Amino acid sequence: MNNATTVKRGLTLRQKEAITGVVFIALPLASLLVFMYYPIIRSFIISLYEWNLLTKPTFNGIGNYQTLFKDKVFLTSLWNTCRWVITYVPMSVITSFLLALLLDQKLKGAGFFRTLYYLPVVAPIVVVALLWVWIYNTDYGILNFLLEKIFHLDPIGWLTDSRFSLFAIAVMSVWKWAGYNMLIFLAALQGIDDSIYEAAELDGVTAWTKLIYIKIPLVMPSIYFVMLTAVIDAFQMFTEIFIMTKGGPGYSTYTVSYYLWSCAFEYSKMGYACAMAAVMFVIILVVTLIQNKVMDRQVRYDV
Amino acid sequence: MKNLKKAIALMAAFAVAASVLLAAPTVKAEWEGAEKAATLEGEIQYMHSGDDYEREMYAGVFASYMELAPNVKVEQMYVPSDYYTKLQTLASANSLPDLFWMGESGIRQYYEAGMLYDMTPYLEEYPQLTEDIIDGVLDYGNFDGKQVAFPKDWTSYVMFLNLDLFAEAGVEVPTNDWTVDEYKDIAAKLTKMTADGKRVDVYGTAINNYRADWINWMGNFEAEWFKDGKSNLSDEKALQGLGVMYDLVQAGSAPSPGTVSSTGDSEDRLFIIGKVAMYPTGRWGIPSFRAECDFEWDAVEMPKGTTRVCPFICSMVGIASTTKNPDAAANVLSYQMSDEGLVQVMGSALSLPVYNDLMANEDYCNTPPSAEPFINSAAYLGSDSQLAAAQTGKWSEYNSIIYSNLSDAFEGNVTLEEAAKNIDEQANTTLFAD
Amino acid sequence: MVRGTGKKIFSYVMVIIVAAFVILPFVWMIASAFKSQRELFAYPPTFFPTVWKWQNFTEAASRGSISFAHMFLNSMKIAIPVTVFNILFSSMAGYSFARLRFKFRDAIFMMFIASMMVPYAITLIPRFLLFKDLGFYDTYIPLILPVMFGTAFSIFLTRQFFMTLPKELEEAAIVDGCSHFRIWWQVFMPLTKPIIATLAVFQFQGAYNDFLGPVIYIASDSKFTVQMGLNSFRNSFTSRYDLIMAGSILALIPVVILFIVCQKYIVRGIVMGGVKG
Repeated sequence: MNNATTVKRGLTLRQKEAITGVVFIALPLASLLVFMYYPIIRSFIISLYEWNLLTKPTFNGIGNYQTLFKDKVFLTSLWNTCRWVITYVPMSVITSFLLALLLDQKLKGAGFFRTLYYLPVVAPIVVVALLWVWIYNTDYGILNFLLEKIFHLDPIGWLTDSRFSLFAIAVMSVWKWAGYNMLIFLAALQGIDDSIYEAAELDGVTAWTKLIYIKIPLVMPSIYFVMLTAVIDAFQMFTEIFIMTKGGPGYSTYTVSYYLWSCAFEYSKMGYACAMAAVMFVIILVVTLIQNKVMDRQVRYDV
Repeated sequence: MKNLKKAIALMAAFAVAASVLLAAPTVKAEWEGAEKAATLEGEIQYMHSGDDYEREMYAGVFASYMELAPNVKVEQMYVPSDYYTKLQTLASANSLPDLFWMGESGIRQYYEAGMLYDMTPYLEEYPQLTEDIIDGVLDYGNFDGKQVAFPKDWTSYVMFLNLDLFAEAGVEVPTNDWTVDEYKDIAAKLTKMTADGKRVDVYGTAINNYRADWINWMGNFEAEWFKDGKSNLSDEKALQGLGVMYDLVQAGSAPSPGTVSSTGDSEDRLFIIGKVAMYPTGRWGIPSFRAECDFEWDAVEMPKGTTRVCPFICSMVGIASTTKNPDAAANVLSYQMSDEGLVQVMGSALSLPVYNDLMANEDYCNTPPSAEPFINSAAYLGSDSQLAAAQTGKWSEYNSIIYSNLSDAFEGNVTLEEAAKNIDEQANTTLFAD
Repeated sequence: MVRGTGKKIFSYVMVIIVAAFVILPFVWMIASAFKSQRELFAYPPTFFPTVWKWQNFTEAASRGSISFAHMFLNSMKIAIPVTVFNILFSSMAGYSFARLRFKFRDAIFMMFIASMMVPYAITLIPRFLLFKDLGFYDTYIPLILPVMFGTAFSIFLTRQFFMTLPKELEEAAIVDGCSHFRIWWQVFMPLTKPIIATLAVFQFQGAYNDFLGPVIYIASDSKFTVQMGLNSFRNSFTSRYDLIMAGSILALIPVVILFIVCQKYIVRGIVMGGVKG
């Protein structure tokens, strides 16, 4: 027992360090528990009740979940989220990656363009959505005007035709977020050791081979990261929908977040909305786990 | 969305109302509650939605009330947006204000939760409240024989006309007895293409994917679109009514509601800038029309189908069951509904008094546009289907089912029959299942 | 060499075309903001306004139940505490996770990281109920409190940065008997400027641009934020797109200025945070 010595000299450095460590994270941790983990647990509990906030909640077991999987609107919202991932993720990854390749060269003014491309990222989503609603307007929008002038196309109902509405929002989102993902890719590209290129150049490889065999594999972790973020964001999509389409036409742009918000704050079905949140949570968990598996394998493969 | 429009008023409308106020209109009847007001004391919270202009109007009403009731303090709580979320939140926290507004279709949930004060005895205490009241409007706030919400006003649904465009096209201006067929015909005649013939420059009319339009058109064909507690939009007459809207879009005489709502939230913009010749909307459109239209305009009744039904759109006033001072709350309500109170609000032309005698009075139902369409429509206000659907307490969800599916039809993604079938199926399995 | 030059020219052309795509919507916004209503709905559209209507800006700034300046002030009441406190608490925690040893440190850190995967919508309702029950409805507290004590992303970012700093930095200080608080504040923080700048932009932007939060928690018009005000333009002005566009430009100015001031640090910030995630 060396208690005697520590007591005499006060705390050891090591103990001091541990106490400071805990003190430094105490508030963030408390905040994390109260505002993140506790709500997740409470959400699961509420999902077992029927509750309109006004009267006492009544226990409903898994009733909400049963209804959920028969609810056409919920299933459509889920399906729209899948459609969104399939449309948006490839568009976004490819565009951002190409932009990064473009700016990865030693061009004069690359810094300026990098800043410029990032501009839509800082623009408030409300501003961006309102602007694009105006651009997309079937009768008075600039987009249809240009398409008619250049390609002699008939006006397209970008936000009113269920074949285009989701796609139109995806294009807007690529415009808004490409600058952010571009920076991530750019960072990864610039992190590639010059010696790898030098060795490749000695072997006389073409730019194409360099891209396929060096750049893409080495940037792969970033691509996974961007994709995972995009999938999670797909479940968060609310403001764009709220401002641009209100889920319409029909249910073609209902997202899980938008429907959840409607159920909770318009129809006062708190239990039902929480059941939706729980399902969303499980889906994200599964996606994240799969992503981690794939990424692990990728990393091992690289090594 | 659209019910927000009801709250819309523009700066210039303020001038109109101010001039009405300055003109010191004749108040017909003395307020019956004055004597009691002087004896009351306490604090009353009054929560309402609307806009800045409406807030000022009601601030005026409360100020003049407090002169008559020197020991009562009315505290005004004004909520400009997401009013119903706020109301619900306050309700769930058990801290409702003494008096507050509710949509005509959103009362049941508060009634069922026991949050509304039964004001039936006050209807006896203040006979003026119900004297000469328009038939049927009380029913929307009446549950199990108890009056738990009071209709403070209403807003007729009529067709506004751009008379300059009629003159330009050489089309005769319709009268109040026009029919749906004439309407379609005129709409087609007034629709004008651009010089290159590729696009519509001026639309003959416009439609709104909005409850007032649905209720109006289905009602005009005698449809029982909500029957025996079930959604019944697949009913032939209901389809006939909705078909009027659908056909106009198909024929190109009206822009699709989606196209227009993406210019903002409202078709009335297109009417104001002269891109739509005939536009159906409620009285709430008048302040902006008065302020902004630089052409001659007027209103007629909605065209007749086999009959006529005017949708009842209203913010009803409730007293919270938790109020500490129901007597004072009822007294405030009674003053608001008195000729003295109403004249301060109706001058704005945002809405109409629920009393037949006041409808014929220029101080309460002023012009332009002509007063007849508004006065006439009081005779066919509301329908059994609307009342029954409103009282289910599930209107907001039902409303969005109808809205979503009809938008699909109006944009040409599905047929009207398919949309109606989807609505009934969805609503009757989820909301109105036994 | 010729091939190299050709490629360069191609690259420049591409860079400029992309720049045009990025810029055009903004240019269209500015052009629309100066038009009269009639011109806005004209067909064929004019690209630049025939008459530049500066009044749109003054009208957008003053119309509505509260002025734009008032809404801006409200937004600042949220954004400034969020940004300042978030950075302070996050970097403290980041320092702790990077430099101090204590039990369960890595497990706790993983708890933070995992929370980054949880969509906002999942915690939305219980958080709302929590704040409602505490009587914080229609106050800024629900918008500030959950973020001000540090968030996973900021903690992660500062930790990554601190881990790149050499150990020698604090060793001498510890021998001199310096507390960890002083080491963090006097030795580490001054070196952290690029990260602080990045976080400042991220946090400020997050709070200032937030829409869903205020929509749920704020009711009184006197407490409206810029984003809410902008959206309410669509209803209470019967959809005046001329004013919406003018208001949008006003709303854009603060974030753009902050971004331009901090922009050179942002790349570094994202390198630290993004790639290694």
